[in-house]
Amino acid sequence: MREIKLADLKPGEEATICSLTGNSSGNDRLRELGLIDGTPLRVIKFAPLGDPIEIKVRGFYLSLRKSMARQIRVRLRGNIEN
Amino acid sequence: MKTDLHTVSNTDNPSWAAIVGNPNCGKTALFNRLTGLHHKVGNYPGITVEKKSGRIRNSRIVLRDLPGTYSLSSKSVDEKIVSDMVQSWREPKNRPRAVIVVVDATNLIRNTYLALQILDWNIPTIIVLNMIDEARKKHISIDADELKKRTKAWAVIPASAKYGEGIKEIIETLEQIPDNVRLPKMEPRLVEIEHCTENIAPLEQFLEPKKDVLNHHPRIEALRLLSDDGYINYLTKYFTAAELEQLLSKVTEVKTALKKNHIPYRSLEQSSRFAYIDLYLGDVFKKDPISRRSMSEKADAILTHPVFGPIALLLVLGFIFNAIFSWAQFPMDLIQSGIDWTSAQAGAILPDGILKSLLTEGIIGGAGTILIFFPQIIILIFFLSLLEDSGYMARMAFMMDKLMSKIGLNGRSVLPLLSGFACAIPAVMSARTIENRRDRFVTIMLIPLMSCSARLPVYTILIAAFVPAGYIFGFMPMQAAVLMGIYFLGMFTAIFAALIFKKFYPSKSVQTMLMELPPYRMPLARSLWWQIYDKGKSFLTTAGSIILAISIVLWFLASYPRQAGDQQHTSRERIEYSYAGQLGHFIEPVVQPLGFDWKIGVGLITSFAAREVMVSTLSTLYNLENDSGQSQSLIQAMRKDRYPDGRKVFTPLSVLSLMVFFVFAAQCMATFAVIKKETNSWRWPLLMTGYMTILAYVSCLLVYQGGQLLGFI
Amino acid sequence: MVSFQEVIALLITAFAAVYSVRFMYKNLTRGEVPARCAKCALMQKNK
Repeated sequence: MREIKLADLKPGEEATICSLTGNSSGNDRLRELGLIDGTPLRVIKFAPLGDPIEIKVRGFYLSLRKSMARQIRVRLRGNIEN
Repeated sequence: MKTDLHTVSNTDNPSWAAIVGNPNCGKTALFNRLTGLHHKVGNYPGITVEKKSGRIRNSRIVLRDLPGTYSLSSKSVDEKIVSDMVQSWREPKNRPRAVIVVVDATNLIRNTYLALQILDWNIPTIIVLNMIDEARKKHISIDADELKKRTKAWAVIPASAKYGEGIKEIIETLEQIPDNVRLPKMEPRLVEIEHCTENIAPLEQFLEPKKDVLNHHPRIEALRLLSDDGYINYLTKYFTAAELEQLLSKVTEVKTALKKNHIPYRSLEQSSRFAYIDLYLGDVFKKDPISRRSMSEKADAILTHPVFGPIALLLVLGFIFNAIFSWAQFPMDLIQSGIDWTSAQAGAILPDGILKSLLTEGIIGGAGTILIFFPQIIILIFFLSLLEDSGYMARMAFMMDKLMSKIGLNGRSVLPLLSGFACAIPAVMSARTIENRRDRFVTIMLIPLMSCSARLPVYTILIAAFVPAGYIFGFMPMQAAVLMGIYFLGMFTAIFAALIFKKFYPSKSVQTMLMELPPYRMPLARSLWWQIYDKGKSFLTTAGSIILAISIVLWFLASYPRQAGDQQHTSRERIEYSYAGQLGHFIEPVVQPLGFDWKIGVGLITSFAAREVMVSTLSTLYNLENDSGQSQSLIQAMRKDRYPDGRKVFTPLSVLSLMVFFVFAAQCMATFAVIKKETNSWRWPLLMTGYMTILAYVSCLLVYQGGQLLGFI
Repeated sequence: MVSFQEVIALLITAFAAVYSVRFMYKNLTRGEVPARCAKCALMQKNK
C-alpha cells in the first residue's frame, strides 16, 4: 500500500487519509472539519485554472488549495483490499 | 422590536440564549424565524460577522446570533467573537439560559464537532437539526431521540428554518427550561484514541483543583492548552502568577512526553472528538456515502467545468449588466415622467420667485433625479442576492481562487470583494472571515475598487447619454458591454493593486484557503425580498436625507450671491457669478486636464458625501442654468452643453475620463470611517484614500491627454 | 430688500447645511454609518 499526496489524485478517485504532514494552522482546521486519519474522501475536480481542488469528505464538498493538498497523504481506496 | 436591541447586555439579563453553529448552517435564518427580524442570510459561509440580538416573539427570552464557526479554537476575527463569548461562560453571571446549537442535518458529522464542544460546557443545550427537509429529500435519517440520549443534550429538535418547521417546539423548549438550572458535571465527550491519557495526566491533575472556578472539564482545558499556545490567555484570570508559571512548565513537560511517544499533541482534541462521533454516534445517523453524486455535483459538472464554467460566468455577468439597462428602462421612464409632472404642478401652483426655484430646480431637480435610478439599484441588488443565495457565488470564488493566489490573496477574499459591488461597507466588515491579518487588510484596501451600487447612477446616466444603443458582434448590447467594461476595469485594477501590495507588503504565512462549497439551493423569496427591501430603503433614505440636504445647499450656492441688475444677465452668467460658480472655477485648473468643466468639478466635491450626489448636482446646476423656460432632461442638457468657445463639454473622451474617475476615486466617507474602525488605525484609511486619489487622477490624465494625443476628441 | 420668500428659502438652506455638516461629521468621527446602509447601522447598534 503506497501513500501518495492528495494533490496527485485524479478526479473521481477515492482515497483514505493517512496523515496530515506539516504543522500549519490550516491542518488544525482540516482536522476540525473531520479530515482525521482514516477518513475516506473522493476527489471531485480541479478548478478551471487547475487550482484549487474540490473534494467530498464526510458528506460535504470542500475546496482547498493544492499547496495544502500536498500536505495530506492518502492511500488510494482501491488498494485497501490488495 | 428594535428598541430591545439596545437593552441587551452580557450580564444583567439572565434570560438569554446563544445561537451557535457552523458557517452556512442556517443560524441566521433560524434566528430570523424565532425573532421575526430579518437579518441577511445567504448561501455561503460567513454572512454573519457580528453578534446580533433579538427578542423571541411574545417571550422575554433574548436570542443572540453569533458568527458561524467550525470550532471553538478561533482563527479569524469573526470566530474569535464566538470563542470569547464561550470563554466568558466560566463566570456564572455570564452563562446563558440555554445554548441553541444549530446543526445542518445534511452534514451532521462535521457539525456535531462544535455541538460536542458546546455540550461540554454543561449549559442546557438544544441541538436543532436544521434543514431537516433537505435531509429527508436526501434520505438521510436521523434518530433524534437516540442522539439526545447519547449526547445528553437538553433537547434535539428537527427543524427547518426555511419552512418554519420545529420553530414552535424550539420556543416551547426554551421557555420550559427552569431558571438557574444546574446540570450534573459530565465526563467530556471524547474518546481517547492515542493512548495519551497517562501523558496528559499531570496537566489534568494540576487543573483539577480549579475545576469549579474554571467551570470546564480539566481534560478539555489540557487538550486546548496543548493545541493552542494562545489559549493560556483565557486562563490567566484564574491563576496567580506562581501558578501560571507552574502551569506553563507542566504544559511544556507534557508536550515533551507526547513528542517522545510520537503523539501529535496539537490535534488530540479533534481526533478524540471525531472518534467519539464515529464510535458512539455513527449509527444514529445514516451517512451519505462519498461515492453518491448529488444534484449540486451534477450541476457543477457544467457550472465549474474547465471550459463551460468560465463561459457561464461571463454569460451570467453579461446578462445581469444587460438587465440593469433593459429591465429598468420602463420603470425609469415612469419615474421620470412622474417627477416631470410633479415639477410642472409645483411650478404652476407656486408664484414665480425664489421658493419656486428652490423647489423645482433644487429639490425636485436635484434629489428627485436620483429617484430615477431606483429600479436599476433594485435590479442589481436582486441579482447579487440571487448569486449569493443560490450558492453560485461560492463557485465564483472556487473558479477564481487560482487568480487570487497568484496575486497573493486569500480565496476568502473573493466573497468580500464581490459583495463590494453592492456596498463597500458590509463588504469591508465581511473581510473579518479572513484569518490572516495581512490578507484581511489588503482585501479591505481593494474593496473600494469594486464599483458599488452608488456609482451605478453615474455610470448609467453617462452611458445612456453618450453610448449608442446598438449591438456589438450582433448580440451584445453596446451599453451593457460598456457598463460591464467599467466594472471589469475596477476588478483588473484591483488585481494590479494586489500585486503591488504583494511586492511591498508580502504575506508571511502560507496562503491557505479552505472553503466549503454549499449545495445549490433555491433562493427563498422572503430572503430576496428583505435584501432588496433593506437596500432599497437605504437608497431612498439617502436620497431623502443627505442628498436632499446637499441639493438644497447646492441650490443656494448656485443661486447666490445675486448681482446688481440681476435680470439683465442670462442665467448662465448668473450661475457662473454664484458661489458654486466661483468654487467650480477655482478648482477648474485642477480638473481641466482631465477633461472636466467647472460643473463636473463642483460635482466631484459634493459627491464626497455620497457618490450619487454627482448626478443630482449636475441636474441642479443644469436646471438653474436653463434659460429656455421649458424643461429638459439631464441627458439632453449634458448632450447640449458647450464651453464658451463652442467645444462640447461632454465628448466621448471626457465621458470616459469621468467614468474612470468614479471607478478609482475614494469618494465615500462612510467607507473611510468603516475602514478606520475595522483596522483600528488611521494608516489604512489614509492609505486607501491616498492611493485611490492618485490612481484616479493619474489614470484620468492619461486617458484624456493620451486620448487627445492619439487624435480622439 | 429681502423678501419673505427669500427668508424662508434661506432658512431651509441653513437647516440643510447644518444637517449636511452634521452628517459628515458623524460619518467621520464616530465611525458610524448613518442612513447609508441600514443593515450596517443595525449591526453596529448590536455590537
